[in-house]
Amino acid sequence: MREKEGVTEIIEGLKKWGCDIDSAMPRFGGDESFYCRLIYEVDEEKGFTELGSQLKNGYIKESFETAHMLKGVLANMEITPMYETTCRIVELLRAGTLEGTEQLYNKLISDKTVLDQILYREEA
Amino acid sequence: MENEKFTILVVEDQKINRDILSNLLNPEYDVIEAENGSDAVEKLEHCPEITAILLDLVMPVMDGYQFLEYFKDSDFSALPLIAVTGDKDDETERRVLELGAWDFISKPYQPATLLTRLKNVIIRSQYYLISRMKYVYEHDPLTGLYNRSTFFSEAGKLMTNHPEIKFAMVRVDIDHFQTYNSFWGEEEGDKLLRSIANQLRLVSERYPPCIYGRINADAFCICMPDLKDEIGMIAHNAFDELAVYNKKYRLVPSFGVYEVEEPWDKPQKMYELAKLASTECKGSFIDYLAYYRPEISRRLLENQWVINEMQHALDSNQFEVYLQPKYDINRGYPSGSEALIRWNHPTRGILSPAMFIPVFEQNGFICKVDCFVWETVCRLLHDWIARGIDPLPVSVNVSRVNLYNPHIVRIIQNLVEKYSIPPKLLELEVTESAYMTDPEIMASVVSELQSRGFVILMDDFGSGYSSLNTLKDVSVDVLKIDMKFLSDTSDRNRSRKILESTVKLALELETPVIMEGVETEEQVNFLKKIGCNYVQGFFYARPMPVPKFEKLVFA
Repeated sequence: MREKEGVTEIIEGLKKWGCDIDSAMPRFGGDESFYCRLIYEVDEEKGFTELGSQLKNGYIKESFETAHMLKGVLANMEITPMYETTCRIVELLRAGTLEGTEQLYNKLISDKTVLDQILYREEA
Repeated sequence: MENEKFTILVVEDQKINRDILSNLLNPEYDVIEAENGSDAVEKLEHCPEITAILLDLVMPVMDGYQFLEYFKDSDFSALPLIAVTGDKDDETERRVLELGAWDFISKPYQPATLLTRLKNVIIRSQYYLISRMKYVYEHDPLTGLYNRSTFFSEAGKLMTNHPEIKFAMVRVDIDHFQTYNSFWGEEEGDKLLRSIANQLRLVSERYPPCIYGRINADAFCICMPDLKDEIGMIAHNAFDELAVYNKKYRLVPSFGVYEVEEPWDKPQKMYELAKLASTECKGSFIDYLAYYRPEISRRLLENQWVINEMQHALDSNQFEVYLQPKYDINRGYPSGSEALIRWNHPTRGILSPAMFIPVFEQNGFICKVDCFVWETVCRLLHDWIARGIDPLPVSVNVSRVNLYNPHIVRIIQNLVEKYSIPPKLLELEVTESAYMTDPEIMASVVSELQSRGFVILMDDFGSGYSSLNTLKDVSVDVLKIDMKFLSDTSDRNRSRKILESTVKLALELETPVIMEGVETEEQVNFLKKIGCNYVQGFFYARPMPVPKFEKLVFA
């Protein structure tokens, strides 16, 4: 079982990564603990896996809905690097094309790995 | 919005977003969550406390656009709804606003903006609700016109604001509207009322300034400038239009107009006077417009006085029976009499029957009065017999209302038995109009009375429009014809010939004829010539108190 980072560390880590946490905080009533509780839910969001599967199978409509959902969540959480990538995926899918989405999805998953590292302590 | 915690429905498929929103909203609002449009529909149906909706657009199962399509035609469409989405483009915004969203905010949530916009739509919706409530409170739901109380209030303001204009209160209703409703159904009735409402709207546009409304049922009223010609035209046009509105049912309006003398008076009172005026038109296919005159109120007050006094009058013997002799026209002496009611009021003196008989007939008191007269006459006849006088028959009126009494024969029979008088002495007068209304019932009652020895007189014979039928179908012992038959006509010669033929016909049928209302010697000579048997009228004798009658006839 992975050990979660502390609130302060998470906030600092996200800021360093380029997340606009200062803009996010008012959304959470300034409650960093509440923010951190939710960010773990983002990390565990099944949508990231489902998006990969949907893109692979060429389900444009489903991929768009999932990507759109992720985009909204990431926007609210101000996880900026992942948000920007998701936005690009959404626009491609909105235009009805899968071209370029695989690469972007790979980046998204790569960014998620970074998020994991911020949220969980390094295993000894 | 202070002290009241509103409930917001958050429709968002992503739990994290729902959590964020709930956290944002919670200090100020209660929150109900729905995962998609379909879940939102169910929440709306079961949670009447929902005050506003925050709606995500892209959702599975039922997305925001599908929900908006449902929502705009639903019972909840008055609720304020804010669409929330990550798509910041104009097209999305335009589309959701067109579908009925009150506002549009984008993700990520900007707390201050979101809370302010939410507060704004809630306030706006309250005003909307209040104005809706005000509208409903002030207007008639069927026609959209002012309702009764709003009409009176606005009419008062109209007259106060225009002291330079003389106004008229014009009331209109439809004769026998309830019957129309019963025949054609409420839907048709409602359609007619809406049609009338539309006509009033057109009138109001033509003759400003005015206020109009629906008072109740089929009664409408318009307070407009007192333009006599124009009001006449409005009534005339309404009359013509209603005449062809339903080809299978003749609709007739009644217009009552009160010309406002004192504009500071209560509009309700003005309306009541217009309503009084409209009663002058009731039942007429020709008169559909009447102006209020003070005599109408006086008559109404008079009628009310009669109603207030009548029972006490009966109990305290204010009613008296007068007798008017009938004469054998050839022999010149009395052959009988007719009993007539008189009211001798302690302070107002002798009151004319024309003043109270119509009221009694309308309210049914005539039944008690009839019984009073019958018993008085029976007592009189008994008294005469007891005094050794050979009495002449006395005829009494049997009102139409009493003829419908299933016990009428027994009542009259009991009376003659109580006073031990032969039935033939108590003659019974029934008007021809009673036969026309229900000929079978009347014929049956008459036949039974005759079988018990009573003599039946048909009063006002010839006043109906199927007298020959009546004569054919109903067996009567005596016909009474009023001399008005000759005077109420432009062609007296023709009337004379018809009267002569009628008397001849009656004689052929061995039915004696009594002519009533005989006032001149010329009339007497004519009646003798045509073979009339008996007469009654001022030429011979007026109705008189019993002692005077006794002196005249038995002395």
